[in-house]
Amino acid sequence: MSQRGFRLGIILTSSLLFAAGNARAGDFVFIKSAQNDTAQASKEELKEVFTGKKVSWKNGQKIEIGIGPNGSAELKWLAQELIGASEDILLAKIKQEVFKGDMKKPSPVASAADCFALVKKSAGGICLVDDASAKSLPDGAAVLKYVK
Amino acid sequence: MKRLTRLAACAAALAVVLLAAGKGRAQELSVGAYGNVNYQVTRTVLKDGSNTTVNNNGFSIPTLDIFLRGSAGNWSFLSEVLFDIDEGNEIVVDLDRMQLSYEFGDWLKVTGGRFHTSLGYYNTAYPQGGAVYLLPIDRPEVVDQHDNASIVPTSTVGINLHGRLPYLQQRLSYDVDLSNGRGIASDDLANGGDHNNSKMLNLRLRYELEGLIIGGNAMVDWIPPRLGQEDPALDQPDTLREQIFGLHIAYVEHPWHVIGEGYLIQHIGPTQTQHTIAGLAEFGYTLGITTPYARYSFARFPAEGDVFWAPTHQQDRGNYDALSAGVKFVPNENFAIKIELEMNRAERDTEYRAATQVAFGF
Repeated sequence: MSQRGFRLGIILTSSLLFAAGNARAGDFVFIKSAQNDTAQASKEELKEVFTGKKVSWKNGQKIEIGIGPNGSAELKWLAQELIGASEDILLAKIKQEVFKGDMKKPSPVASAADCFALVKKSAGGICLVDDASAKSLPDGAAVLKYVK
Repeated sequence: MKRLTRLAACAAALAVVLLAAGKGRAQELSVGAYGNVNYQVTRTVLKDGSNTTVNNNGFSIPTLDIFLRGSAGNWSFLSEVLFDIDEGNEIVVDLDRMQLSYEFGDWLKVTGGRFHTSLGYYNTAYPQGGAVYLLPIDRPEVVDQHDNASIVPTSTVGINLHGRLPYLQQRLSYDVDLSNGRGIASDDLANGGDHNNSKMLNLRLRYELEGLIIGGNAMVDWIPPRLGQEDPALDQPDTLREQIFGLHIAYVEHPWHVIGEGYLIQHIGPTQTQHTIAGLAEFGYTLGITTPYARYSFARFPAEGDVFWAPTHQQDRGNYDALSAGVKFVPNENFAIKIELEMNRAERDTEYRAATQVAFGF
């Protein structure tokens, strides 16, 4: 392979990897209750929410998080995005916070329907669904804008 | 006292089971089980001039922890019942924590009951029964609850106020403990009342920035006299004022694990003030499922021995410096396997230890 061809290959591969990374980061959306007036949250704020350091929203509503089962794409994405680690490490951290007494045990959310049900039931609820499910939100559910 | 603690532990467990049974009463109930199995080989070289060496090895089951947590709205309940091998081979049931809390928001959570004193970082970050979350095999000596040998009062009975101050983007957090404080000795936790009616007051302040925690605490307590001991040399006829000042720094964010904390403990009587200094530094770095780590801990006791610790084990070995290093493997969220080497040099002896631990948490 010529040097020019090699360079082109590197550029193409890098572009594909970059595009794949961006697509993946956009695959999931944070869902909140429509009653929750928090419009957006930063990575640091969401990390605090999902690791029990933040217990209530600005309006005072108690935070109730829902997470997918171990091995789910949602949980893998959440762990990588917020703490840069595997879902095992995120789950262990959550369990440790529950054990310390600083955090309520998260509600299990096995599907987008479970997530919507959680935020409809709990005004402080927050969970994660894939991009496609977020396109047809039921009444009572809203998107929490994720500001990286 | 042990009987009372056992009864209280059973009552707490029963209360939570009944709470859970009541349909619609509790919005959430978590039940957890934590424990560990250890194996260790030790070699102790006495410094009494004889150079006597004592070798020992054995399996142990230090703790089994039954954890219960319930919440309904802003109310929550937490209890931790420990099956603990304190001294010898007897398994003792201990109610390590029993807390009732009401959360007003990030700015205030009020907790009443028996809880871990808000001292330093380690004591509240790693409850005793959760070895699966600890990086090394044991809690450091300064907060090690086994054999009631911790240097600072790890648990207390009273109320705790905790929250984040609404300034500096909520990066300042506080804890205020008001409690019964110490009993007549460090193995006499005032569960059922206060011997001398004077309360322990402790304040901890922290500044947190993107995972970095820098904090300090100040505590004052009045320890009642200790009289009528079987060995009169262990009597302590005066009320002691105990003051504990501490500083801590921690950065425990994947993949880093850095903790440092130090304490000055003062026991002030009518004729003397005794000072003890103790602390630790701990480092770890996670690579995949493996975390290599190292820890240094130390204590410096008064030369004449502290009167408060005379009946217990804190200063049995005199001043010490302990250095340990090991590896923790976490194959999944529920299990941890650790291998550790330690050298602990004290005035009385030097102990070398090789240990391994399998810990679980569900």
